Amino acid sequence: MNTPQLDALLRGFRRQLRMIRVARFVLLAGTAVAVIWASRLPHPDNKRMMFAIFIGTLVIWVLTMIKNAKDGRYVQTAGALLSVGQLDDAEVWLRRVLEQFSLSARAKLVACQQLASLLFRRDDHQNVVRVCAELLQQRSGRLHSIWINTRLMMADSLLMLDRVPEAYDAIRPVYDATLSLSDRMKLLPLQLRYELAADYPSAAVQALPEKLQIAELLDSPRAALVHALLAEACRRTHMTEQQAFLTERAWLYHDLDELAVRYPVIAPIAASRATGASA
Amino acid sequence: MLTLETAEQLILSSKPRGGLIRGPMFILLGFSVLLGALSADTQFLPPNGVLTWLLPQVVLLAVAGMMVYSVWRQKELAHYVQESIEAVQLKQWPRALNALHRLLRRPVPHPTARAESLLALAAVAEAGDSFDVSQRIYEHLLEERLADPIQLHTARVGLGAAMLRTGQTTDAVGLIDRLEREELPGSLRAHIELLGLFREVTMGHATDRLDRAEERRALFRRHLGSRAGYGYALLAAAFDSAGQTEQAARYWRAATMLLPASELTHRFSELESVGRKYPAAVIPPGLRNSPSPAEVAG
Repeated sequence: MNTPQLDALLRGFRRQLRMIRVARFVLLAGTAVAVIWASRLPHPDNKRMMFAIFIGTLVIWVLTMIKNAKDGRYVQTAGALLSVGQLDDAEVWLRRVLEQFSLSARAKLVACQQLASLLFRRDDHQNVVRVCAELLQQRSGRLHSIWINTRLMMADSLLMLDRVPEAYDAIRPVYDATLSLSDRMKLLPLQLRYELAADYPSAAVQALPEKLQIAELLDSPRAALVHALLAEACRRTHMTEQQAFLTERAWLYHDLDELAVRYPVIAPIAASRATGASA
Repeated sequence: MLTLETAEQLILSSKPRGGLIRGPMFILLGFSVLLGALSADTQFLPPNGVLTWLLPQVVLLAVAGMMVYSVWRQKELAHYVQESIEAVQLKQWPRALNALHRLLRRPVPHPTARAESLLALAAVAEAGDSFDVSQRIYEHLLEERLADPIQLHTARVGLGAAMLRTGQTTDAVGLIDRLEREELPGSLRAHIELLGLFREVTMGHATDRLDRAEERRALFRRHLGSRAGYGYALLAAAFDSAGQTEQAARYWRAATMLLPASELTHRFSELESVGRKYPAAVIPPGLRNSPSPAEVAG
């Protein structure tokens, strides 16, 4: 997907969300007006009309539910394709949800967030930031998980682009929100990367036991990254013993030289290959 | 402490209701359509009667109430599922059991959420060494088959381990052999290799497959995160049985780098002799707060 295509998609997304709000208002107001109008009709026309309005509302509701379920299935399929790395196929499904009209703002927001994930997987960080900024403008605060994930993804891409102060702005509101364990697991590597990029290693080595407890729950590559980031923070704060332990542990999880290509901040730790790496 | 009786009760009480009761919203909607049709007929309800005015309001209120209750219940379920899974991840077993009690005492309408909660309940049972309870939960999940393929796979692996613990060795060996023959992605294969290694250690055949130790180590490292420590500890036991003490010491050190020695021996009592024989990794000060519950129990 090139930049003009993404621009068009985001314009369409914005327009559709506006249309959803208008359509919902029109439906609600239209039903209320129809009910008042029907109640003023002579008997028995009023009852017949009331019944017709009721059936009409029911039909619209059922059709909306069917369409929402279909969109939900598309989003789910796109998510599954994303998780197995079939990015082009995932894009096709996401485009369907984003381009077709529906009354479900939620499906559109989730699809847009998945589009950001897709661009992130393609290392297209400039566009990830654009999609995330668009999502954050759309009052997605009501959908807590989308709001958190969007902010974290945006901060991640900004760190990748070395836009450290902007990454802080993206991540800052997350600290004021109630976070689940899963959110904290996503936040920890980002927080450490930001603290090292902003040269606050003393902040990174605070509450080490709690950070390690969360790191131990991560999958191997991310656990290795967090251990290597903490080891780097220890190196910068002259905590030699802790640095050695964390480096050895990081190698036990994953090959650090592979991770250092993507995250150069851990290069000094990756260079000091520990003896226990091969168990 | 989770008993077999409590687990059975929770399995039964959490079963989703079938038939008409499953969709009270649809019953109410159907009822309101019927009511609308009847109220349009002047012979059934008098045009200016109190009932004619009252009934539609009551139905509308009931529909709205049902929707509010449904949303509230969904949120409550999601909260307890998240609470129990977080507690299991953090090995906070009493907290996990408490959340699971609250969650499973009433029907859980979503099969995958229920299966995830039952798997969490089995983990709580295993943490308390109640392997008969975890076995019953896994058996139930596999009999019912109301779970996604990954959950069913987890239940099969868990059942194999539980049967080894409860002395049903023949069944366990048969199940593990079947699992080993399946073509699976690496992330699932790693759990089966861990189970296979555990079987070899418990049955005294630990030295049989030492030639695959390196392959297993790589699989555990890639896919198991911190739980690779269990695999390294079992590999240490295998090398120790073969008299390869240097290798055993290296694996035991790697295992205790990832997990506390007390947690390893608590989970696999077969490792106690290895733990006494080889030195564990030393954790520098300031990296661990206090002993985990498993450490205390161990």
